[in-house]
Amino acid sequence: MLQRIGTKLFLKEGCDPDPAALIPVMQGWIQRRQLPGLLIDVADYSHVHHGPGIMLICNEGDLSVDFAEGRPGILYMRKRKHAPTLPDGLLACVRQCLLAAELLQREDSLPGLQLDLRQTRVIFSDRLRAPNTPEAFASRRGELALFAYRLYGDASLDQVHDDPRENLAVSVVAADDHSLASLLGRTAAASVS
Amino acid sequence: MSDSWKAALQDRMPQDWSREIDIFEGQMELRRQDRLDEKVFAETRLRRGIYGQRYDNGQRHDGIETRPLDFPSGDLTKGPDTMWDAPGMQRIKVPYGGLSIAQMEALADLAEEYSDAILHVTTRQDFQLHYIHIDDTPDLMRRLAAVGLTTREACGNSVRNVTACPLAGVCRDQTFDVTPYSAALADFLLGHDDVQDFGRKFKVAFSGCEHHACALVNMHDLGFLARTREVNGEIERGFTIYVGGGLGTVPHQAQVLEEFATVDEIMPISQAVSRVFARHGEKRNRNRARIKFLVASLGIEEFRRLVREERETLPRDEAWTDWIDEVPVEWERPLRAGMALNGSDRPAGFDEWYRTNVYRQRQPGYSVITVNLPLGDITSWQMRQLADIAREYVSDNVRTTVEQNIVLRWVPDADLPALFGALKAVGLGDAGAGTIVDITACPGTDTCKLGIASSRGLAAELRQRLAVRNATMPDAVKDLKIKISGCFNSCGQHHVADIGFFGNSRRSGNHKVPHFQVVLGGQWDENAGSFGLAMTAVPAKSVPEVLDALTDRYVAERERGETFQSWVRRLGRKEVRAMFQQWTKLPTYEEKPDLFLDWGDSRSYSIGDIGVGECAGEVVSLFSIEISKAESEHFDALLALDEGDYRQAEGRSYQAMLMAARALIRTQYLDVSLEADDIVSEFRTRFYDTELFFDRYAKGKFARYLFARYASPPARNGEREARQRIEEAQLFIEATHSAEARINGVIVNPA
Ligand code: HEM
Ligand code: SF4
Repeated sequence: MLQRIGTKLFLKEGCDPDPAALIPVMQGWIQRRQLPGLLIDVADYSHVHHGPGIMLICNEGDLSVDFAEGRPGILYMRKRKHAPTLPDGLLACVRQCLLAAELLQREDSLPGLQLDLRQTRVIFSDRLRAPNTPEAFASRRGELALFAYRLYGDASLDQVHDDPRENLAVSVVAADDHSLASLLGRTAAASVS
Repeated sequence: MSDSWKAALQDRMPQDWSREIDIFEGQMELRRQDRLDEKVFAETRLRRGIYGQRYDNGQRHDGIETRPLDFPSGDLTKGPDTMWDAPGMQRIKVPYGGLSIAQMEALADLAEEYSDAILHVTTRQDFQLHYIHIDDTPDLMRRLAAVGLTTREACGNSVRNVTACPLAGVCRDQTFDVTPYSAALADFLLGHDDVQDFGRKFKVAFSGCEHHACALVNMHDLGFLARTREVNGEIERGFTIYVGGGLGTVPHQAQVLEEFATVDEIMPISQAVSRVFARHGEKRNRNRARIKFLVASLGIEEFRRLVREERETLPRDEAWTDWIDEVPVEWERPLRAGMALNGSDRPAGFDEWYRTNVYRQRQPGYSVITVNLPLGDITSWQMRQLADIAREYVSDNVRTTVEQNIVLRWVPDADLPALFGALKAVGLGDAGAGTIVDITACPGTDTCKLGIASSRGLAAELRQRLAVRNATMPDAVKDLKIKISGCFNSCGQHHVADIGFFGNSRRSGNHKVPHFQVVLGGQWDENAGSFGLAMTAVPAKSVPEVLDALTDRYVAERERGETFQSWVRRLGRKEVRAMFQQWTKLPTYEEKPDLFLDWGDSRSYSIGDIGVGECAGEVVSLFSIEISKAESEHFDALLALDEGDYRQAEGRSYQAMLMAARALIRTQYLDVSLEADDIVSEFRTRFYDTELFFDRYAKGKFARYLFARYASPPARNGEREARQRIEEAQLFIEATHSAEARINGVIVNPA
């Protein structure tokens, strides 16, 4: 079992949500229990450069509107209670991001929030079992391909960073366009809780 | 490839550290099986640096109601009322703030894999990781041990991180480099038998000089100030040793234990102090258990006598001195040759950054640069980039600071423009280090269980506002320091700032309003030479306006060369209060709902999961009128203090406590007399014995201030007594406010 796995869906270029507007939105999710899992608190990291933005802390994993690399997106990092297989686990992460995206798009305080749904960033945060090396990527390729197929059908896989100190991150790019609704349909069987 | 960190790192961890971590892992297992008492486990956990966090009692007020957090581990706890699965905090000790590149990289990894990809620098040069699961801590500790870092005794009743000036060794004004001594003492005291039986935490600091603030020796339990003397024509190194300082609810200035102790004496004396503290220090009453109370109650002469006596009986230990011969002449080596800043291109923003973030070292051609971290936070990614920058320019010459920043030392001046460019590219090039925008804040309501108001929320807001105005701000304002604590415990060190704030709350109608007490005129220089005093509480949301009013007036009225401290003194407390008055009258919720929220939080404000109860109370009660009289008495005490009339200041503070107690009694029993005997006895039976006055964390602490003063008036009327009584009265009045709100049913506090 890997220490942490996660997925990030990037916002479309030009979308730059106001972090301050996200705090009441996420606090509202806690009040209304609008996402699966045990939602605990909202952490504000908007003061740091290219940081984790606004983060919804949950027992199973944390969901944030993340600004790493200056590319805002919806990130879900699974901390515990992993699914039995890696593809299932990753699908559950994507689903959590999609559910959050659906909720965010309903907010008047966050107008024009659009996602680039053709691309999913997969992140393994476990330097013991999945260091950021070509070998570790190769050894996970089969499971990643299965995940990509179940999410998108046809898709390509690429290792993102060269720096061996970084998390192992893989960019999964779909051959075709997908809508939020269709991806929600394709991940319907997965859940984080 | 190993499948566990334990196996992978076995050869890289010091053996004793590795074993301790295994033992802790075993204790975790015993606790899971309920074979280890939760209280014992809690202290064990704290001594491994693992703190609880807000909401770990399994409930949280979500802005509408208090709701349970149903953690999957069910009833399993890691301490009383502390759920196993609840996110917690891990503190990591960094002796004298010294960091290596390998440590920076390890910290970055750990924050990503176990926390939220944020590393937080604390007000005592430590790091903290938040939202940690306890199950992850043994591996986290192993990975730290592999790079020479420990979490041992980072919390709990033992010797905390040993701090030192971040400029030690390169400072132009130092007597000598205190780094090797602080490192050696930290090493000696870590896990030492004589530091295991304290009633409370114990903080040690080293300073290289008297007049700067870098190490804040005056506010430490044990402080070392570098000195030299001439013996037979040779210069001998030593320290003036201070003892019994500390912040907290009642701040104390440290006192001199030994005028000059030679370096071979610092360990035995520390050990003797530890033994005296362990033997004579208060154990049961945690609120009087810091060594400052022991020193105050014994008197410094008696305390010194006991320490000297103890010192004489200590069996000699090789460890006291065997390190001395190994103290290198130069603790650090520069990576690159020093070179003057020549005519090379200066990137935009360089000059401003140079003015505030660059310190010229005593060694020609080199500078120390400060990486100004917002709220002490840095991301894992940034930490790796900073490690690369260090690798290129300074190697392992990196330190954390008590102002929650990181410094790189031994930067050749000629490299400054390039280094600035590199920092800016990764978002670490903020100017303004050590100025008004570089605000210190404790964790506050974000993660601290005791937080009353959002210190970090306020700090972030002020930082943003002040940064915008930075270019046009007069230097006199720029150079002020702001420090914020989320409650009276003063983890944000608000007592030693020009402008300090600590969180509290007030009631308006049926609602609570987050407030900050404004504490003015604390002194950062002279090793935290004097503490500021509370002026008045203002709503959290009004703080930016209050700050503007204060700084505008300071600029307008300040005389040439006048410091903020002396301006505040000249203005006088009465005038300061008058200036703030417009913010102290609370509107109703309907008039200004925004005021009833805290910074960075959209939930309706509550403390300790307090909710708005059903039964409505009167808007202006008899209590509010009477307590305001007590407050005014307290204010007069402050004025008397300003005039140097200590007897009156002390007496009025006591009177203010009596009046506050009486106001509370009269919510139950109107006919109480004005006699101290009656007030104290009624107060005791109605509110203390019944524990109605108790709050969840401080319990009856503040009531005991009243009882103690009632039982024994001070033997002498000096400034120290007056200041202490004033602080106590302040806290007692606060507590009376809270008790009234709790008891009289308007606001329901589950505590
Ligand atoms: C009654 C309880 C507490 C008291 C009296 C207290 C008091 C203090 C004081 C006076 C300082 C700092 C100044 C200094 O001496 O250098 C400090 C440091 C600190 N406190 Fe507390 N504190 C308490 C509980 C907490 C809690 C519950 C938290 C949050 C989890 C917390 C977080 C911190 C932090 C982050 C620091 C700087 C830390 C370091 O590296 O040692 N404190 N505390
Ligand atoms: S000052 Fe209060 S709120 Fe801030 S960390 Fe200390 S105990 Fe918590």
